[in-house]
Parts: sequence; C-alpha cells; structure tokens
Amino acid sequence: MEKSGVGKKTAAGCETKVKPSRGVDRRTFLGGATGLAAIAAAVGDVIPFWRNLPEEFIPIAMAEDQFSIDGKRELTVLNDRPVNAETPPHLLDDDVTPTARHFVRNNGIPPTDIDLAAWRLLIDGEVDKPLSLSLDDLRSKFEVVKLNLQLECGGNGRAFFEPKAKGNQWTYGAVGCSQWTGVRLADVLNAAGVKSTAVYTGHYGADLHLSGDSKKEAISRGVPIAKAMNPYNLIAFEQNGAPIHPENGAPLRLVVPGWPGSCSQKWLNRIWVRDQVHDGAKMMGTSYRVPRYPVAPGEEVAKEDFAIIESMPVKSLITSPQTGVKVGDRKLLVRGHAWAGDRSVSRVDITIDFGRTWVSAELNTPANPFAWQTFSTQVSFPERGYYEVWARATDDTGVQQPFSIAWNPKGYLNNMMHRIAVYVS
Amino acid sequence: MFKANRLFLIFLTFVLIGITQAINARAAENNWGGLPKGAGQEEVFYQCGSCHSLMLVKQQGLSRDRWEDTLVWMIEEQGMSRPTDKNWALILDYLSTHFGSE
Repeated sequence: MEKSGVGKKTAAGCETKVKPSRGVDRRTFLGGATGLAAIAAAVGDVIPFWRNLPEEFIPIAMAEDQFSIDGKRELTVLNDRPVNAETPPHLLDDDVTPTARHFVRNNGIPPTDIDLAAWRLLIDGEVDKPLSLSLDDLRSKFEVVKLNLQLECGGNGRAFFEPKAKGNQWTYGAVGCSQWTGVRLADVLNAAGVKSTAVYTGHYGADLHLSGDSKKEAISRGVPIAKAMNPYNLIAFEQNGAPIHPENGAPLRLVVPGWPGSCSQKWLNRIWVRDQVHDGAKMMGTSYRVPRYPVAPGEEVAKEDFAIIESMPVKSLITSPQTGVKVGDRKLLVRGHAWAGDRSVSRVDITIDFGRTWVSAELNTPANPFAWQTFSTQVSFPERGYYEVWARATDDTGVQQPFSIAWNPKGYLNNMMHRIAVYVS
Repeated sequence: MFKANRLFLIFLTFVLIGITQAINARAAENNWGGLPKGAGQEEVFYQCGSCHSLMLVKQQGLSRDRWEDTLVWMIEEQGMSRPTDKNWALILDYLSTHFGSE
C-alpha cells in the first residue's frame, strides 16, 4: 500500500493537496493480531487507539494517494510528473473556460521563485531592433486587449487510437477557451521591426527540462512568420482577468489559437525571429508532425514523409449533459462547443439515431475570431431506451468531422465526432 | 594516514549500502510505483522513474519495436542514460509484456 504524503511542493512552489481516498476493504488486513501487526508495520508505527478505529476506516496513512493541483477543480490527472491533466467534457460547459477548469499540459518542470519585476521577454533575431521588455513595458507600451481564445493540445483524443500511439493518453478534455488579456504578438514584433529575411519564430520559456539539464529546453516550438503576425495572437499576462495560473504559464505566455497548443509557449521569455524553420525541442523528428499521406493503422512511416501540423481541424464537444445521464423526459437540451483551427464553424448537426437522421443545432457566432462557438439544440426521444447523441461540426469550407480516426503514428489530430450516452426511462 | 583513508572508505561503503537498501526498501514499500510484478520491475522503476512519473509509462500500449524506438529517442534527445546491455533486454521485455500492444 502506498503511504500518503502530507503535501508535496511542486516545482512551481504550490502545495499539491494529497487527498486520501477510499481504497481497500479493511477486512483484507485485519484478522486479529496478525492483521493489526501488518497494518502497524505498513503505517510505520504502533497504533495506540486501534480499538477506536471504526469498522469501515482504513488508516489515512495507508489510503491511496490522489494527486490534485492547487487552483484546478476536478481535472483528470494523466500524469503527475510532469503534470498533465484534462477536463471532463461536462465540466467545460461554460462559454468561457474558468481557470480552475482549463487543462494543464507540461513538457517539463515549471519555474519556481518567479521575480515579476525581473521577468524579461527578449525579441531578437531577424529584427531591426532587438527588444528586452519587462511586464510593465508590455502593459504600458502596447495596446492591451482581452480575447476569448481557444487552445487545444495536438494530442487531444490520442487515447482512442488503435493501435495505441505513444504519449499522454488524452481523451476529450485537452481543450479550453479562457479569456486572455495581453498585447498582440504582431504589435510587439512590429515594434522590433521584422526583416524580410524572417521565416519562422522560435519560442522559449523558463520551464526546466525533465532531466534537470539546464542546457536542454523542455519544449521550444514556433510558427511561420505569417501565422505569427495574425492579429489574434497574444502575449498574455492575465487569464480570466487574474494572474495566469502557475501551471498555465505564469507570468507570461503566448496564446496562438487554432494551432496545436505547443505553439503557445508558456513561461515565455524569448521569441527568436529566425531565417529558417525553427529547429527547437519538439519541432523536429516526428514531434507534432503527421504523415503527408493517409496511412493504415499501425503503419511504419519514414521520418521524411512527415509534415508539421499547422491549423487544427474542425471539432466539437458535447458539454451538456454528461455522458451516461439518465433522463425521465422525452426531450433533452444538448449543449456544446465547436471550433475549427484557423477557420470558423458554419454548422453543427446532431443525431440521436447513430447517424440515420440529423438536426441542425443553433450555433452562436464566436465572441471574437479564434474563440470556440457554442451550439445547442433540443432533441426528442421517441421512446424509452438507450440512445447516443452525436455532434458533427462543419467548417466554413465545408469540411466535416470524420466518423473515425485518421490514424497517424504519434496520435495527433483526432477530430472524430463526440458521442455521449443517454438512458431514457 | 593511508590506513585512515582505507578505514574511511570502508565506512563510506557500508553507509552507501545502507542508503541503497533504505531507498530500495522505500520503493518496495511504495509498491514499485504500482508497476506490475515481474522480471524487470525494479529496473523499469529506476530507469523510467528518474525523470518522469511512472503514470506516463502505465498509460502506454506499444509493441516491442515502438518501445525500443521510444527508449532510443529518450537516450538521443532527452538525456536518458543508456541502460546496460543486460538491462536493455530486461526493460524492453517488461514494457512490451505489461504495457504492450496485444
């Protein structure tokens, strides 16, 4: 049995609460003196008040550890080192994702002991005038904007690949759309003066490589200069009107919506404007790349046949009700959000009969470009039984979500339709 | 002086043995991070758990070839120390058995 800790300090300096949860039947251990001795040995000491332990209680020190993240509520933790956690779909129902519900994705270890006054963002490379900007500089020298911006991890949906792909097994919840406050990346780059030789950006952050080697970057990706100059990219310093969550990139991060989340460098401290495609950590090899042509599940693909992922594909998520819901009414309000990378969503269709018939949902326009779009519709069930509600979004060029996964070796870009189960009594 | 150094080294060796045993005991007590029992359990615990949580390992379902590619990538790009030749096979066997694609 694992002992619970009192509380562990994450690298970000936050206490992580270790919550014990019910684990094993006490009878498994207790069988008179032998059992008590076993518990005492596992707990590491005698238990003077053992006679007072209620029948159903397991000593706290033996209960299973449950890792939770300070300031995040009810996320599903996939990994605790580095910390990766996703949001169950029914907890993403808000039009604007609360900070406590925004997914967490770490490639390395977040920085500790952040000195806000000393934080600098360096802009260098193919620019007329390199800049070194403090947080105050950013706030005072550039127009500050607030935008609802949707971020999705490139590997969202990887868990459903067959055969399995390597990496964090995200299901549906590596996606969110918070309100971000910051300055436009384009404004800052223009202030530095982007040269005609500029091809790509290279992003750098203060997170530490897992190995502890300070010469290695945990992650350093970038985007083509045309994407970098899009007016909806932010150098952000607030999340939902408050300091950015330590696990979401405080005090400064990029938000480059519509492309894989890895393009949105967290704990941002440098943007290197390059005269070539960036070759930083997790830009090369097969990282965030998919084969140039469709491949069969499990197929081996030569490295040179992979291309860098750019815009994320059209996708949607049913956020209300929760899958598995039991309802007594024949009518049910279904809600969710849809997005389409660089494109917008034109329609969302809903089916309750496995795709035989579809109804078009009411679809909101986004709060601003690159925000997700909320849809809703009322469905009617003809009789009692088991139903699945599926949602299928179509983007503004007519491209729809597929019925099954386009398999690729690294498990990226699963934009298959979301299906929830409803039991009608 | 030479004798004192030797005595010190002997003392240090016993201390290190003691520390290693204590670490092993704690790891065993914590159930080797929840790794299934089997040959290679300890080796995987130490090889894999030094940089990242074993939670990541336990999520995977890869063929032996893909596990090998993964370990090679970690050595070449992520600073992982190369297992000994003996441990290499042991670790790959363990991973493809317990976290394999079958």
